[in-house]
This record gives sequence, C-alpha cells and structure tokens, in this order.
Amino acid sequence: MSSRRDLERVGLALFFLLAVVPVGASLVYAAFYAFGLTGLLAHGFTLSHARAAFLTSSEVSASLLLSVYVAAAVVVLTAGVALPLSLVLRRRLEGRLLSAVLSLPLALPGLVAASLVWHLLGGAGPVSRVAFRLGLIRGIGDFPSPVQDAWGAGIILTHSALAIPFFVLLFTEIDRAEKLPALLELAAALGASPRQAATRIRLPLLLKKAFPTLALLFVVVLGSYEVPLVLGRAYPQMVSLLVLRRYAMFDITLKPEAFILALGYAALVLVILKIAFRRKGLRNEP
Amino acid sequence: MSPRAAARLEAVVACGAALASIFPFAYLLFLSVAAPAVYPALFPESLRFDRWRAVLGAGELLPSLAVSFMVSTAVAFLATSAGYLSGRAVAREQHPSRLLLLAYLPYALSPVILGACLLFFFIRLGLVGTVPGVVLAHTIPAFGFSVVFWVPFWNEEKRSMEELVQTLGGTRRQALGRVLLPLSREPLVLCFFQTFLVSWFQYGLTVLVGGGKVQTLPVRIYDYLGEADMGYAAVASLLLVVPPLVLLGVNRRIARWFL
Repeated sequence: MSSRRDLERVGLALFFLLAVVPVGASLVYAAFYAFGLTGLLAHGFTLSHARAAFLTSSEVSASLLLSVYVAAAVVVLTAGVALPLSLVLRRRLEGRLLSAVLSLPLALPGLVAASLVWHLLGGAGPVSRVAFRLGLIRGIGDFPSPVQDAWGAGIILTHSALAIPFFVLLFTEIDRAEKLPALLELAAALGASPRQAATRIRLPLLLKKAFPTLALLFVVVLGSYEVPLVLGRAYPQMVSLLVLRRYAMFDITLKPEAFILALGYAALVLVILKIAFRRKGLRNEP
Repeated sequence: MSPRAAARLEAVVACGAALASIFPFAYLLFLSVAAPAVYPALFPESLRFDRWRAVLGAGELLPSLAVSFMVSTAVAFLATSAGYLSGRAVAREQHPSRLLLLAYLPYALSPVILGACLLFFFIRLGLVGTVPGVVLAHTIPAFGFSVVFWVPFWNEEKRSMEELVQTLGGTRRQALGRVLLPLSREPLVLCFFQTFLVSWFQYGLTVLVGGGKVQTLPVRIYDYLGEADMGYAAVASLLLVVPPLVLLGVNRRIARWFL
C-alpha cells in the first residue's frame, strides 16, 4: 500500500514541479511585473501599465485583435475546407495509401511551412514569376503577395495548410467511429433528403465531436510565434511576437506592458480551455 | 450528380490532396539543389550539390543536428518518464479533470510567452545560454503533453489489473514490472517520439532560453532565412523533417494517436 502511495506521491510531486510551478511562477511573476510590484521600475501596486497598454497605446489591443482574428480565420478556413474534403474522400481514405500520404504534412513544422510560403508567394517567388510570364503583372511590385500583408493572409494560409490534412483525417475518423453512414441511411429511410441528412445530422455531429480539437487549434494559432515571425507585419504583431518585442526592448518602461499582454493572453487561453472542457470533450479525459 | 461524375470528382480531389501533401517535401528537395534564378526566370540555370556536400562532407549543419538530437532525446526521456508517473497519479485523483486542465496549460500556452515570463528564473538559475536550460524549457510543454497522453492510459482496467496481481499474491513492484510496464511499451514509444518532436520543432523557446548560444536546427533554418539563403534553409529543413517522416513511415500509429 505504501509503495503505491509513494509512487503516486512522486507522480504528483513531478506534476507540481514540471507543470504547476512553471505556469504558476510565470503568471505570478508576470502579474507582479505588470502591476508594479517587481522589476527595475517597481514603485508599488499600480494600474498605470495596464491603462497605458490598453488605453494610451493601440498596439496591445491591435495585437490581441489580430491574433483572435487570425486564429478564428484559421479555424473557419480549416473546418470549411477539411469538412467537404473528408466527405468527398471518405471512401478513399479507408485505404491505407491516401491516409498515409495525407498524414505527411504532420511532419512539417510551422517554421519550415512558413519559409516555403515566404519563398513561393513572396514578391519575387515562383508564383509571381508565373504571373509575370502570363502577363498578369508588370513586375514584383504588382504581385499581391500574402507575405507580410495587412490581413495576415500568409499566416492564415500557412496555419490552415498545415491543419487541413490533419482535420480531413480527423473528420473521416469521427465519421467512421460514430457510424455516420448507417445513421444517414436511417435518416433517408425516414424520409430525409440527402441535403437534410448532411446539414442536420452529419455536419452538426462532426463539428460537435471535433469542437475540442478545433478549440485547441484556435489556442495554438493564437499563441503561434514562428509563422507570424516569418510572414507577419511589424505592425500590428501577433501576441507572442509583441510580448517578446516589448520584453526585449531597450526602453524598459515598456516591459510591464509585455506582461500585461501575456496575462491577457493567458486568461483568454484559460477561458477557451475551460469551454472545451465543459463541452466534455478534451478527448483524453478518463 | 451521376455516380460516374462523383467517382471522377473523388479521384481528382484525391490526386489533388495527395499532390498537395507531397509537394512541400519535393519542393524543398528541389530548392536544396537549385542555383539562384534571377527574376523573372522560372527555373534555375543549373543544379548544384555543393550545399549537400557542405552539410554531409564538411559538416556545416552536423553540430546543430547533434545539438537538436541531444536536446530532443533528453526532453523526450524526461517528459515521457515523468509524465508516465504523473499521468498515473493524476488519473487516480478524485477530480482528475481539474489537474488535467492544469496539464493542458503548459502545452497549450505559447512556449515563447511562457518562456518570456519564466526567463527571470532561468537567468537567476544560470540556465540561460546553456543546453540544460534549453532542455528544461522544452521539457515544460513536452511534459504537459505527456501527462495529457498518459492520463487516459491509467484507466479502470489498469487499476483492476494492478489489484488482480495483488490479489494473486504479487507485490506492487511485480505488478508494475511484469504487467503494467509490458502493457505500456507501445504507448511509451509513442509518447517518447511525440515529446521528441515537441522539442525537435521548437524555435522561439530555444532562441529565448538558448540566447543564440544553443544552435539547434530550427535556429539555423531561421538564420538562413534571415540571410535569404533559401537553398541552405531547404537543406536544414529537410534534415529537420526527416525524423518525423521516418517515424510516420515506421509507425502510422503516431498519426493515429492524434485522431
């Protein structure tokens, strides 16, 4: 009995040491710094940094808005493309070859994917050259490159391209696990049209089951660093980039704002995870 | 749509999806041997293999490859072994979902933001710019992943097995060594590879904690991009994607685990 408890104690101690302590220490330190309780310029509790971050400067709000917009766009685009693809490819994905090929992009890190998009779709990239040869543009300057554009198109495109194959496989797996074809046959037998069966049974079920994973995709994109580093603009920057820039800036008066932003971001992630948990779905729950 | 047209559409979409999945790797291979081409030329004037010779012969990227491999192996070992025990402890708690939410945090939070908030402690501990510092920093998100991986493994079935061994006169150590560890062999391998990849792909956290002194492969890729040297960036990228590709090829379960 005691060795069992010892093993569990060791497990819990490791859990606190490697999960609770780092996250707790980082958030407490960020809060202390953000509210003037520690750091080189600390003069006691103050909300002035928070006011400066959100009211005086527009960069922090713009960064949060951009990050939420990019993450939402990636989730919508990924689900919007992966769902119909999974429906069309359902039968073919029962074979091993196509599912093996579609899982290849899982091996592609964000930095590599971003560098490819930067090269392919940059002003002097191959797509621009083809457009020039076809007479669609008159030079590099005419090419509407999604690299470092105002709408974060390159970032959205890269994250979506990385996520779509995974979600095609996920939706297909859910389709199979939930025995949706049998359910749809039943719906048809009861008089539902193919359109009704798709929009009222298949899509809601697939989206409901995939919701936690889509929520995690939102969280991952929200805090992504490498892809916006390569493909994003200098203003506004996504959250991770702005936190790091403010943190490492020569002007140390801006450092507390980095922690304000980090706290805002952490709160948002926590809320999203809570929602994903409440919907019963972080699938690894015992 | 007629069945024939539907089948044709299915075939076209399948081919398109397969080509799109293979394209990044094929294009990286092409870039790694392509000489620069002046705008608006579509193709390089020649193919050059000196980059590969520099990497494989002169060992241009081999130190970074070795550092990446060393860091990721250490992270995978730490995260998998600690996560194995922690997952078991969390699963046996009265309210595992609360602890599981905590386990998701280090994994879900941006490693760079978490790293920026923890950098003060790393500086105080003298870990900045060192390999152990980078290993510890990578272990935090990898451990979160590992716990999330192991909690469902330690289900009621495993608890019953442990109890059965004890009922039959076995000790706790025998239950672990002769029943649970053999049962865990496959998930242990999967978790090891997954946590290896969590570390293998890290860039931001490595730069932050490594302070430019710990040069892993992703750091070198970004350096090459900064120099607009897409050829060497492609070579380094191919080296970076080889281990995950091999893992996918050897064991498709790794992909299935995600699903």
